[in-house]
Amino acid sequence: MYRYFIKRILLIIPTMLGVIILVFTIMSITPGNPGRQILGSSAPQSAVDELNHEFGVDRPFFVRLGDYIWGIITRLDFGESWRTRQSVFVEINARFPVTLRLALMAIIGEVLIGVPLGIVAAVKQYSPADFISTVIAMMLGSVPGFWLGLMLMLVFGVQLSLLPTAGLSTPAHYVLPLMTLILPGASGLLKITRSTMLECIRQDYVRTARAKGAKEKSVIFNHALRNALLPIVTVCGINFAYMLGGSVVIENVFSIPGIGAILVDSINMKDIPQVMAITILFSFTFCLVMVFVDIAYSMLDPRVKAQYQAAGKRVKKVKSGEVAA
Amino acid sequence: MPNELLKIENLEIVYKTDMETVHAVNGIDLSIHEQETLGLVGETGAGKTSTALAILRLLPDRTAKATGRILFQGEDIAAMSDEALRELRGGKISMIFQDPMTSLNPVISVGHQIAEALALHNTQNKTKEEIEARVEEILELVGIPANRKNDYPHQFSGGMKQRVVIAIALSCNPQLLIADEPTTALDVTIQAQVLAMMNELKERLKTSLLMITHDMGIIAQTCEKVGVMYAGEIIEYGSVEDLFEGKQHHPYTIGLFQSIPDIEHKKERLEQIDGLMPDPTNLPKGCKFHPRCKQCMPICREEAPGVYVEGEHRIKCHLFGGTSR
Repeated sequence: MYRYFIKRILLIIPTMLGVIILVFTIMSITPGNPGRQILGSSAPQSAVDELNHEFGVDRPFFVRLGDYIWGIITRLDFGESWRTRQSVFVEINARFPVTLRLALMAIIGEVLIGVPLGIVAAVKQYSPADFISTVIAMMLGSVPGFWLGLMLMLVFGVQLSLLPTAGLSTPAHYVLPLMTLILPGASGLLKITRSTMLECIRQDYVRTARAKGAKEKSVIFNHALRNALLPIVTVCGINFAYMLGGSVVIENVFSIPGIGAILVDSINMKDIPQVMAITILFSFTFCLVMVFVDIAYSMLDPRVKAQYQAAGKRVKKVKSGEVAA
Repeated sequence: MPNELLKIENLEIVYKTDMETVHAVNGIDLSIHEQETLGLVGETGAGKTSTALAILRLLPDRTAKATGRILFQGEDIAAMSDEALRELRGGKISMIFQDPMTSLNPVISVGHQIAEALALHNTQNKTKEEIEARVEEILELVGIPANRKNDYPHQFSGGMKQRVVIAIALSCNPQLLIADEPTTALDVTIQAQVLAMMNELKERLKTSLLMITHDMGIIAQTCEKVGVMYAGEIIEYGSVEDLFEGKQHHPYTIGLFQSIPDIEHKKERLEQIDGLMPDPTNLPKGCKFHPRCKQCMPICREEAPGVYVEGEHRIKCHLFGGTSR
């Protein structure tokens, strides 16, 4: 099975390569002139040309792309930001931890709120608790994040003056951005938990558990929930990975110095090395989270584990075949 | 005569949804004595499984409503506390479910699923090691090597899964075992093995058995008493001898026997009972079998038949007159 996961991790490399080529191409074919963006419209053309020459953007596209990829492979060199003239990691190191912290807190909040409410809604289907939580989840799930953020700001920040609305300097500053992240995420999780739990508690093996004399609690948690966990884990993984990608809108609304905000700025400034570095970081974390989701699957479901083992074995056979040939 | 273990009086089960009302079981009376095997035979939809589930109070409580009384050792099951009910389920009465493919929890090892039943009814304060030893013992008893206890259901064949289901049911030495079509999902060779095993275990553990099936052959092999169910009623009841050797039968029972191939007589075509089971949402007036009955009389369309009694043999049919209940 370890082979399978090693294979999965190695598969990240071609994925990343694809992402690099794609984003680099898009950044290159979109209109805009890096030198002009940085120096401003009043700068003389000669200065702009000189700067562009320094960045190397006057070279052909394939040369630049090849150069960039070669730099990463051989020297792990992601370049310098054209705006700050510092390594791209300076911005990332300053801002990624903020986003990471926010995403971690948000995913924990989502799970703590969404999953238990989803279980209650499923176990007590058609009860008032089910009805209320489903309706609220539907409302929160269909509201755009920036609108929810602005409304929360308006109510708690402006009208009630209870909470600060910009930055992340004190714990109180975290409340509104976290609510804006958690509420829609938790409602999505609630819905998926409810529907998979409903499916599972109708299964024959749940009846078998009851017929054994198991307590209702154990029937719900040990028998039904364990089977319902796969889709829940998937949704959690995807939500978390997206939040790691920086909730651009939320960061803008609440003026949070996160990674999403700097990405948008860099795109606007055509700061290609910075954009590339952040995008690579996003896709890398996304791939990594998905591998963890896969590992979680294999721990939760022995059937999935067996599949992974079989997949690992197949690799082994092919390899030994190659050696023999 | 041995003591009466289970007594069902005038059991009625109605499934009510917004769309329709299904009359699954319509007033049945049954009793099972200690170490006795009672067979319930009938077509799909006759109410056999509903009756079995009602004994363990496993009917879905939102839609199903059971009236009448079910007494186990003189105690009304409907009036039991949750705790007493849990003790009953799996401890005193256990059930073998119809479909072994779905009756086992796919994410829990079979050994653990058996151990769970043992731990729940651990009246002798067995230690963990003793429970594990018992799990191995019971697996060997049903013909599965003990070293497979850590395997998961997906690693077993259908017949082996059914054995595991049986092992769970037998693990706590129940006084009454309800077997709901335990061999329907199995092929004939495995069926014979499983039946032989159940017979042997029944002898050894002195368990009473309620055998639910639609196979007359299984009835003949395992049962002492038989109830023939049709449209939620027991239309004929008696000892196996009454049913297989007796002269007087309900026309439905005759139809059932005629539809079994007879090895001693050459026949071009088997007799069949024309038509289908009546729609349980709209049961016919009078005798519920009259639309399909070859000996239907005018009175059958109007009045529900009384019960004709001869010793233990009871037939619910106008042909034999009988006393109204």
